[in-house]
Amino acid sequence: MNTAFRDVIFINDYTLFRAWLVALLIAIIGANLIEDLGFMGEDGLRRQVFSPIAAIIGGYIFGLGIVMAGGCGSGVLYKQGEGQFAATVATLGFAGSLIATYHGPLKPVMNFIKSYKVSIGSGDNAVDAPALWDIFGGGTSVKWIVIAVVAAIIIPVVLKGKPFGKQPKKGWSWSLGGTVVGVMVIVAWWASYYFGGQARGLSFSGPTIDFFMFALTGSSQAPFDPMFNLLGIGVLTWSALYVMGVPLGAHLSARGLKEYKLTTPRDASELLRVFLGGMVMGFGAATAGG
Amino acid sequence: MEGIPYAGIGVILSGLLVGVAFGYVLQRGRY
Repeated sequence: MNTAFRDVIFINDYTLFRAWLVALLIAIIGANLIEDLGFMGEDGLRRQVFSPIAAIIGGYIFGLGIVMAGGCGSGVLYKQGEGQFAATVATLGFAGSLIATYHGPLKPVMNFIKSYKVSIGSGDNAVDAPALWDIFGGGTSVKWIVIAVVAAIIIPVVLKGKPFGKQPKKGWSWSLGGTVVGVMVIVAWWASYYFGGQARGLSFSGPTIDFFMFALTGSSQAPFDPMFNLLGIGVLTWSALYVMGVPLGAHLSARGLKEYKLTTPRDASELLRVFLGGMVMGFGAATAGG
Repeated sequence: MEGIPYAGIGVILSGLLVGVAFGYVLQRGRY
């Protein structure tokens, strides 16, 4: 995602942005579909509380961080699989500051920024975690009308990029990649609910906290998500397991494409920059809510 | 750890596999 927006702004290349739109559209439609079909249980997709100030401040800080660190949460995780040591350093900074913000001394700062929340309606009928369609009254049919409008905006932009055109020699085309990511998001929503006990989807910040808390203290100490005893070694969430899988999957892919190479930046200052970038990202991600 | 269920094979495998699949996809698509 970092790369997608960077390309749009710096080199005026919309390819990855279009891939992101494809993934987004498929994920929105698919996730809401499985919710309506009843595959997600009573709680559905567990939408987040809307704290606009926190989303803007956190998102902005996160944006600064990913540019410094050279990748977002998923970015730094998968790049480790390609052998980029800088991504490992960024991940350590990211995890450290995430935990400091969620469980440690920065928690009051996060809570203060998050304290401004927006809900729609009042009393017992209030929607604490509103989606776009709740502005227009909510309900299943309104939801699908809003999704259709979003689709009508996205589809022409995607088609302009000729999604069925030439395939690259190596790796996947943007349209295929975007489609698969979209499908992955749907699968993750379902699997996190079905196996993990609660819908969580393909978020990265929370799961990174869960994984590192488990790795360092033996327990994910997740406040809301169900935890499991892993073979008597410790206690973790379903999402901590998938964080473990990402570098592994990326490694398998890189091996398959013969792209795996252990690399490190020549300058030590570069490593320091990505480490600090990771830390900035962690605080931003925690504040923005994922 | 009382009251916390043991992670069954379904939990472990599905968690790891979703991660592996996603890591694979991200690398292929170069995001």
